[in-house]
Amino acid sequence: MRVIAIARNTFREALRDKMLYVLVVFSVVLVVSTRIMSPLALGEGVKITKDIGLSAISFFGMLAIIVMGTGLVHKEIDKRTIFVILAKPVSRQEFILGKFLGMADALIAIVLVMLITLELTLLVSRAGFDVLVLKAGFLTFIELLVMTSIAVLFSSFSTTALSAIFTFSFYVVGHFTGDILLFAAKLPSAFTQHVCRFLYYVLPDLQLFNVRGMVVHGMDVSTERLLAATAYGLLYAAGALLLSAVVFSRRDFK
Amino acid sequence: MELSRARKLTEVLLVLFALGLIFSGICVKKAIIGRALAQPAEELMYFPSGTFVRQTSLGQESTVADLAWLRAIQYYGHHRLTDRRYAMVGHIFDVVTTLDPQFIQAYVFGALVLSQDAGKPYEGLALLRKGMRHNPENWILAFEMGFIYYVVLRDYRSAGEYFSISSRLPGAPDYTSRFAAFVEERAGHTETAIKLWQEIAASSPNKYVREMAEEKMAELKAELDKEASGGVSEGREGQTDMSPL
Repeated sequence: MRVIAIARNTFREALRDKMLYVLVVFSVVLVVSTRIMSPLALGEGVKITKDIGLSAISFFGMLAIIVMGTGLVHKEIDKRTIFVILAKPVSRQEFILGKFLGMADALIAIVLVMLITLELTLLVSRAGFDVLVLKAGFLTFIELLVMTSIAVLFSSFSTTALSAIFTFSFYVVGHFTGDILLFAAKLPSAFTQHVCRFLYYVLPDLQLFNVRGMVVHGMDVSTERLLAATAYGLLYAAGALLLSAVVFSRRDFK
Repeated sequence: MELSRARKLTEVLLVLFALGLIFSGICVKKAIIGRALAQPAEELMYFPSGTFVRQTSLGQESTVADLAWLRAIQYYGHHRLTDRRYAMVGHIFDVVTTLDPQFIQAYVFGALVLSQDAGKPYEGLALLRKGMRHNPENWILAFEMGFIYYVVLRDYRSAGEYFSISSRLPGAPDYTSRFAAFVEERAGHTETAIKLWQEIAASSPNKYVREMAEEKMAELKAELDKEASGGVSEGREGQTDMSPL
């Protein structure tokens, strides 16, 4: 119950921070790009609409995490509101979980509205409703959840600016994890190979959630892939949250 | 009073100076674009490799491929209207297809431009082979291979082989097997080439491909008329009925 109260408050905070403006920008980007680019694309207008729509969901979602998520915990410490919250019967673990769930709620709202806008744009451009786009949108949401958990982790022990830098670095590296393994194979030292392999498993593999390239060509995403990627994402996010809770519970605010 | 007037004058002069600098910059830019300073090969010289862009696109490969596709269309359209030289077309289509290996229209259009307009049919075939490696079940790419072998290289045996491969792939329309049989019977005939171009024109959503097909069909029909008026044997003229469609 206390967790829900914190989550609700975080969600309200997101609304107060004009996070929903992202949706207006998204709609404008989508409609304008569809109108401008489709006639130039020589028959590939629908593909471009889906590509831009799905990329924009990922981009604006990530932007929301960088702007909002990275300051989730630190802002409370900075404004000293953390003392008021923790003076009440709220454990630090509950606080972290509540913050994460509130941000997740805001992301659900954003992703859902953006997906509906994308589907409406496809309907208007006579491409029809596309279930595959929903699957890609769902996996993008799971990717955003993983990134939120990482943002909360960094926010639990560092400043907003540093958290933003660290989170964005993880986002970049998360799309390169496959390359780390390829890189390791070319290294002469066994030790560095082991280090690379360790990083390959420890860092989030965000490419697992990337099925955008498949769905724009009408290639189905199997239920196994969908479930496996979701399980991986949820487990990773849970792990990162647990780590945040541990770090945050050891933190001294003086 | 004097001081504030002097300050205003300085501000006006600074604004004028700034505008002058911007205007000079525009003039330099115009000189680069309009004169010999702009070298044709420079146009896409710094267009990065597909592998590099793929690695830096942070999971947005398909969208970046769309941007490269739009750039490729602009590049082709510009040169089609001006010098008809397509030095970088192979590179740009390679980038598009490396970023999005399932982008069938990019392989098809790129191969047609390379083989028909750039005069590099083997590069066109290489692009299609790359497409077939990534999309082994796609009949369009195999059909396009047969098309280039037949129409451009006049290698009828290879053309027949690829039409035959295409006809066995899922979703292949009937005419692929008809062309496979027809090429064996009537290799080298202009009517077959016209029918092939008709198929390409009918199935392509790409305006440039349709225009290219119409141009080539007009050329081939003129060739056919010339042959007919030059006293081609009756037997051969009669064979026009053997259309695969």
